[in-house]
Amino acid sequence: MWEAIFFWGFGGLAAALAVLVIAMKNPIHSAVALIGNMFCLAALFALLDAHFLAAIQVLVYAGAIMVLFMFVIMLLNLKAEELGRSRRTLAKGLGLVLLAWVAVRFLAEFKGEALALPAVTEDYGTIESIGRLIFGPQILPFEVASVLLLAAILGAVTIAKKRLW
Amino acid sequence: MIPDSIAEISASQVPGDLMAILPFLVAVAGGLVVIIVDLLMRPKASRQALGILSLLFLVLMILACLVDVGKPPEMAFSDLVVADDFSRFLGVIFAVAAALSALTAIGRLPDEGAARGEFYALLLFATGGACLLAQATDLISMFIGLECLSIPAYILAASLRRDPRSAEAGFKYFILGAFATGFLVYGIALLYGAAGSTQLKEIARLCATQPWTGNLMLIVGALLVLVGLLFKIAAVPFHMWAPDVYQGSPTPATAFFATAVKAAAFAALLRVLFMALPDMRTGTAGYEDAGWAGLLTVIAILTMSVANLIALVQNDVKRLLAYSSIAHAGYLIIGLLCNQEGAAAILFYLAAYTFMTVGAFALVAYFEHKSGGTSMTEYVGLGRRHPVAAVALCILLFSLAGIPPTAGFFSKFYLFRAAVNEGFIVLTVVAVLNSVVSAYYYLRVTVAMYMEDETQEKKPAVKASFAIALAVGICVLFVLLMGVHPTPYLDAARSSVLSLF
Repeated sequence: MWEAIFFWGFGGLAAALAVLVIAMKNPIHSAVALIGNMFCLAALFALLDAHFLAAIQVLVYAGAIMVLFMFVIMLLNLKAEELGRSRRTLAKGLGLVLLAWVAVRFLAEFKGEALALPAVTEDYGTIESIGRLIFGPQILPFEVASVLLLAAILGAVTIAKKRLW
Repeated sequence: MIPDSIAEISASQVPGDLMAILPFLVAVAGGLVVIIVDLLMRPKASRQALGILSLLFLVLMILACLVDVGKPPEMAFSDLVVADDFSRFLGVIFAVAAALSALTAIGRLPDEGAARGEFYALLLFATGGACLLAQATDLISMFIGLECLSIPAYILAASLRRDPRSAEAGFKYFILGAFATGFLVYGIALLYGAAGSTQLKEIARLCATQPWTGNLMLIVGALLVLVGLLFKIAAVPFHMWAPDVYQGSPTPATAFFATAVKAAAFAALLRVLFMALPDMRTGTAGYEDAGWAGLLTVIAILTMSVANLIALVQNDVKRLLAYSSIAHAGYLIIGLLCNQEGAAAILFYLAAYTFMTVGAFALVAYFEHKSGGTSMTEYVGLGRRHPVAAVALCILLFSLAGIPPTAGFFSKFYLFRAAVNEGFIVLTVVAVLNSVVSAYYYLRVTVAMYMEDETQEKKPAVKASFAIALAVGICVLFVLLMGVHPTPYLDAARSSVLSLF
C-alpha cells in the first residue's frame, strides 16, 4: 500500500520533472528540474531496496554531474534573445497526440503480471553484494567500461585542447 | 587438483575466458601501445609510424580470429560472451576494415591537420568494441560493446579539428547516436522486465513458452532495441544522420563507419533476432505479418528505395557513397528475413561490401585535394590524369552496382537467391529494380571520369601515396577474387552462421 503510494508519487513526479527539463526555456530551470528528477529516481531505487544505488544516484548524478552542468550553463551565460522563440507547434501537437495514444494503449493492454524474479535476499543492494556482482559475473562489462572512459577522455583532449602539437 | 572454493574455480577459469575475447584484448592493447608511443615521440614528428604500429596490431587481431576457426562455440565470462565462428568471421571483417582505413589515414591525414596519434588509438578501441559486440550473447555485454564502438566513432568523426563540417559531423553523430542509445537501453530494460534476464537465450525461452502477442512489455522492448540497432545501420527512417556524418568526417573515418560500424550493428541484429527473438518472427494465426518479418520487409523496401532515389541527384561523390551505403543496408536487411541461408549471405555480402566501400572511400581520399573537393566536377577528366586510379575506382563502383565478375554481383546474387527460396518474390523484385536504379549513379561517376570534357584549367596530378595505393590494391584484388571464385568465402560464411541457429 505505502509502497504503491510512494512509487506512483515519485514516479509521477520524476516523469513531470523530465517533461519540464525539455519544456523550460531557460537552461538553468531545465537543469534544476533535472536535479529534481534525479532525486526522484534515487527515491525509486530506495523503494527497490537498492540503497547503495540510491545513495550513488544522489552523490554522483544529482551532486557532482549536475554541479558541472550548472557551471557550464552559467559560464555560457545565454541571453534571452539567444535562446530563440519556441517553434514547430504542429510537431509538438502531433507528438502529444501520439504520446496520448501510446499511453492509452499501454494502460489498456498492459496486464502487469507478476514476474517470477528471484526473491530479494538479505544482503540485496548492499555494497558487498554489488561488489561481488561487479567483480564476479559482471567483471567483463565493468572492465570494458574503463576502455570506454579512456576513449572518452582521449576524445575530450582531442577535440577541446587548443594546441595539440 | 580439486578446487576447494568458488573463488578458486572462477580464478582458474579466467585464462580461458581471456582467450575467448583475445581479438578484443589485442585491439585494446594496440590502442594503449599507440597512445604511449605517441607520448614518447617528438611533438612535430610525423605520426605515420603509429599508423604502421596499429596495422601490426590489426594483423595480430586477424591472426587471433583465424587461429581458432572451426573450434566449437565457447561461452565465457559467465555466459556474457561467446567465441564462435560467427564472431571470428566478423572479427576478421572489422580488423580488415580498420586496417584498410588506417592505411588510408596514413596516406591522407598528414596534410589535413587532424588529430594524429589519437586517430589510430581510437580506431583500435572502436575495432575492439565491434569485436565484443559480435561476441555478445547478453544484452549488457552487447550494450557495452556497442558503446565501446560508438564513442570512439563520434570522436573520429570530429577529428578534423580545423574543419567546421567535421565538428558538425561529430556533434550530429554524437547527439543522434546518444538518442538511439537511449532507445536501446530502454528496450533492454523492458526486455529484462519481461524475461527476468538479460541473456538472449532466456528471452528466447520466454518467447517459446508463452505467446508473445499479448506481452506488451516484450513487444515494446523488442521494438526499442530494434530501433536502436537500425539507427546504427542507418536504415530508413533512421538514416538522416548518415549523409552529413559521412560527408563531414575525415574520409578514412567515413570508410570505417560505412563498413565496420555497419557490420557490427548487423552482427548484433543477427544475434538479437535469431538468438533472442526467433519466435517473434511472425505473428499468430491470422496476424502473420505482425512479427518482425513484416516490419523489416517494410523497412528494407523503404531503405533501398529512398536511399537510391536520393542518391540519383547527388553531385558530391562522398555524399553519393553515403547514400549508396544506406541502400546497401537495405539489401542486407533482406538477408535478416531469410534464416540460415540469409545470414550466410549477409556475412558474404558484408565481407565483399567492406572491400568495395573502403576501396571507394580510399580513392575519394586520394582524389581529395587540400580544398577538400569531393564534388562530381572534380572527377571530370580523371581517366586521363590518373588512369590507374580511375580504373580501380571503376571496378569498385561496378562492384557496388553489382555487375559481374565482381564480388558485388555474387553478394547480391546469394542474397536474392536466399530471398527467392524463402518466398520473398515481391521483395526480391523491388531489390533488383533498386540495383538497376543504383547502376545509374555509379555509372555517372565513370561517365564524369572518362567521357565529359574538361572545361576547367588543367589540374596538377595528385602525388601518389604508397599507403593508399596499397589499400586500394588490396580492395580491388579481393573484389575481383571474390567475384571470380566466391565459393571458399561463401563456404566460410555458411559454416560461420551455424552457431546462431
